[in-house]
Amino acid sequence: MTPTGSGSRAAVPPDGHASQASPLLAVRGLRISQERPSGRRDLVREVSFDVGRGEIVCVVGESGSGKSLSVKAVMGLLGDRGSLRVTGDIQFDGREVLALAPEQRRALRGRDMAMVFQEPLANLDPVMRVGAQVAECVQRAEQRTRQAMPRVLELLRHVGLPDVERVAHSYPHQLSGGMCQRVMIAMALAARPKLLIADEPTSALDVTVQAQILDLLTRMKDDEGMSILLVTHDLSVAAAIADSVIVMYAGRTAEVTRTSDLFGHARHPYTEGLLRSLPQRGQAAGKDSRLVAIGGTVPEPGQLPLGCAFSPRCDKAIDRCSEQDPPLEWSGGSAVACWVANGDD
Amino acid sequence: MTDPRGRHGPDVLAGTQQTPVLEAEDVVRHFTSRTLTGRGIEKSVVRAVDGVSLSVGKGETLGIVGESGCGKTTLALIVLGLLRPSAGRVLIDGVDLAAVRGAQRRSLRPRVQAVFQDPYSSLDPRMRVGSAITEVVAHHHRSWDRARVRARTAELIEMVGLDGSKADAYPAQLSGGQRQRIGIAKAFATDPDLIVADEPVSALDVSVQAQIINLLMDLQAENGVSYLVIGHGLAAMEHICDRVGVLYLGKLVELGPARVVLSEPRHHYTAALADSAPALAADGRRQLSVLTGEPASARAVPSGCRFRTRCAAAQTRCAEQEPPLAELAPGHFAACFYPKAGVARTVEQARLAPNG
Amino acid sequence: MSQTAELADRPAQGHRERARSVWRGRRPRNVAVWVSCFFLVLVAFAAAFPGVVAPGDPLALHPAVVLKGPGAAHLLGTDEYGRSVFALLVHGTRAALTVGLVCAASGGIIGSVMGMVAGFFGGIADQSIMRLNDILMCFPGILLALLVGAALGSSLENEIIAVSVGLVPMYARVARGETLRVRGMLYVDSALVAGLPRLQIIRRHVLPNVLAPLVVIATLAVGVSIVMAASLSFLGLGPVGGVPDWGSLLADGETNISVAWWISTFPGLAITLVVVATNVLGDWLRDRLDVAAR
Repeated sequence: MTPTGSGSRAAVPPDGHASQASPLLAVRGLRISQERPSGRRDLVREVSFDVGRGEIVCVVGESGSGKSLSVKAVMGLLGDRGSLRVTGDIQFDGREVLALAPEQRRALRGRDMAMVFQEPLANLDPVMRVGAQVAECVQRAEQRTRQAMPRVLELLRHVGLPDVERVAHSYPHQLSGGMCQRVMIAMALAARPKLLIADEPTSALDVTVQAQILDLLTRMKDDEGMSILLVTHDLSVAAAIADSVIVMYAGRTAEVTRTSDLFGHARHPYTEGLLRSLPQRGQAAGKDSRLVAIGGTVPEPGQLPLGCAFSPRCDKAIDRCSEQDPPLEWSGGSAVACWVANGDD
Repeated sequence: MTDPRGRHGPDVLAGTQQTPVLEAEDVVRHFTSRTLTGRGIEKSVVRAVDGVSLSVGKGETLGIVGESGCGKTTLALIVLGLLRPSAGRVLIDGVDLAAVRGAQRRSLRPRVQAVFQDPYSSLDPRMRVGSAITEVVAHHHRSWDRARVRARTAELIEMVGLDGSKADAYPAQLSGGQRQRIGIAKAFATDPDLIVADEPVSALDVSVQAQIINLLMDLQAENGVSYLVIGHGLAAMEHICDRVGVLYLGKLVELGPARVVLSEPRHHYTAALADSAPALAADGRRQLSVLTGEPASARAVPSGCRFRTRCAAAQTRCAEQEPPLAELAPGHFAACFYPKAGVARTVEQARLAPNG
Repeated sequence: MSQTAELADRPAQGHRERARSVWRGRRPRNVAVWVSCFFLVLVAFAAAFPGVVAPGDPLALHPAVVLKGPGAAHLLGTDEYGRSVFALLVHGTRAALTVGLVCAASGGIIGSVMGMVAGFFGGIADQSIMRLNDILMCFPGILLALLVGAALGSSLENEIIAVSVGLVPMYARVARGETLRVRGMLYVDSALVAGLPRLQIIRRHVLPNVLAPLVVIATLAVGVSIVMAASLSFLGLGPVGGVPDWGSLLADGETNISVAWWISTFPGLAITLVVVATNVLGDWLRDRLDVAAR
């Protein structure tokens, strides 16, 4: 699905550290389908977005939106599985990820791309000291077995952990959730990746700890020009740190926009609906007003309605919406998949 | 005349001292564990709830916010009667939970019901949702016949916005939002005076949360039920609650009208919470994190003010004395010797509440 | 949420559909399961109608044909009294199956109830029941059965009691574990808050949800019981005299094993096959129930 419309394909480079115009990661027309006895079922379709160098991009969506799957496909984690088929174009730093052999993809994952997951405790080996686990990553990244410890301590310090010697000697259960997540980030940073992918890294954490982690991520982007692709269900997290936001719904991209344009200028009815329905802080509205809720529920992948998946819940739907699934149309650095928003052409 | 348990001021109740639906007086709950270590048997005490006093009036919504380990879940379990407090009293409609037995105690049960956080495990997967509600209705109205029980069940299901036909569904056939609605229907099945809602929307899809929030508020307007909401998202709490209490390491550090507490907090912890939560309408990026360090453990509570180890405004006095919950403005209490500036007086000038 | 959580968010098939899918998924290539099923049906038939499968009195003595090997006249040979091993085996099936089923059931019920009470009520009930269980567990099942059998004396009834006791610890542990898991579920808390009596909660909410693994254990326990009972009989603690019994056959054959290998071998084979068949079925059942419950 090639982007149409005027202007360049890539996201507009943000102010600050990004220097090149060509994005670090360019995804076009990503489709992930599953072969089942009852036929082929698309779990993810028509996903297209860019991540510029030194940019933080948030993929926002709810359950069934396909956000985690898409991001795993970007990492090249899905190609080897039996029943899932991944098609489309994933250009990372000039190379086509899907065309790489499994070993090449593994090499890419260890070095230029790294991933951090949601439940830090579940993703750390409980019977191995934390320092040893980070050392494993360092050794793999630098391909030598000696003298990993100095680098381990440096990494732990870099992610803001206090008393790094003690932390390195601890087991995961002796550390708090926030500290474990920092350890995961340290492990991801061992290879000095160009792109850090974080799948709901703060959902399991308290809000004050979440703030610390988000600050850390922002610092890494500012100081080192690292690109970050962050998956979340929380729009406010995107608002806090993202340069651009990709909104996904029911397995496809609904909208791609700069964060600054998100509030007040959202174009997809789903995004608009979300923004309206979420309670806001400090508003004059208090207990006596009702939230403007989006009716209905999120459809499951096997049971998508005809046409636009959001149309049954959309208050702006026209006839065409229930007949044809709208394409993602780009203009400048943003995109929207909506007949109404795109002027019903 | 107000006190830290937050009874309404005279202008709200117009002179009638209505018995609050829920009153907690200095509730304490400790968990002791003895472990055998190299140094012999070590006893460690987790002070999950360390002296909490609050009250909820009729038709009112009181919110409790706090992070993990603050004791809010323990407090909810105590209010629901699922856990016994180590000390202190819990009064439902003026009756002390611990002082009653047998039939009188059984009559208290239906008055406090719960809506749980997880819509998946809060319903028996092998039971049709209609039967789950019927079970509760039948038990509460033992003299009713089956037809009447079933009619009431259908009524409840429709009350929460679901089609009556959903009664025959198994939980696995419903979405998270629908399951939560059933959970709410179950909670209303005994015509309770108070519903304890433990993070009622956290586990739901974002686009569905608003529906459930609206539902809860509509039901409150129709039924006059009171809510004790344990919450998470500060924006949602500000929207739903009349008053909010902030819990830290088992104690209330601030209590007052929701909008005031969350938008103009006087306690430094509340301010940190409010600042840390990313807000939707972001005016450019600002530094989110104002708190340093890790939350102290409920096993080793700091002396004096328990928040002092992370507080930027901490002074020597904070380590020596524990600040009492003082009324800094009518109905607004904070436990801090050096509260953030506000319209109100300093703690020296504030009237200290009778229970401290 | 993680990917697995995302996928789990979707409403899965309903309960009825799940139950149906337990049967729908049978694939022809699951040969072992089919064969086991078929075999067990045969065994059940032999247990129900031994006279049809092996007519005549199995215990009658035929001194003329003692210790004859397997052949056309006597399918599985004869023992030192001239009795057909085949006939003895067939007539002993009823006792073997009875023991298997009754012990699996009674041990199961006792053990499960113990485990459920311990898991649900916790505290002193839990401690006392599980310590009792620990005592039972100190002894390997067979040894426990032996002790009980020796204490009570030799008979089929006592054999059943002994084997049942030997099975209890296994059930109690699993039942307790599952009950603890269910007890931690919010729907139990919800029922408690609603004021439902605890016995009702156990009956309507705990029991249906812990049943699945217990049923699976029960199928495996059938096999275990048969072996334990046979062992008891082998050691002389089983029924004496007039009843054909697999374990006794094994014992009888032991003395003559160098000259008449068939007397012990075929009963041993029978025991093995029945145990294998029930185990295969138990595995299949566990896989099916596991998949369906998720």
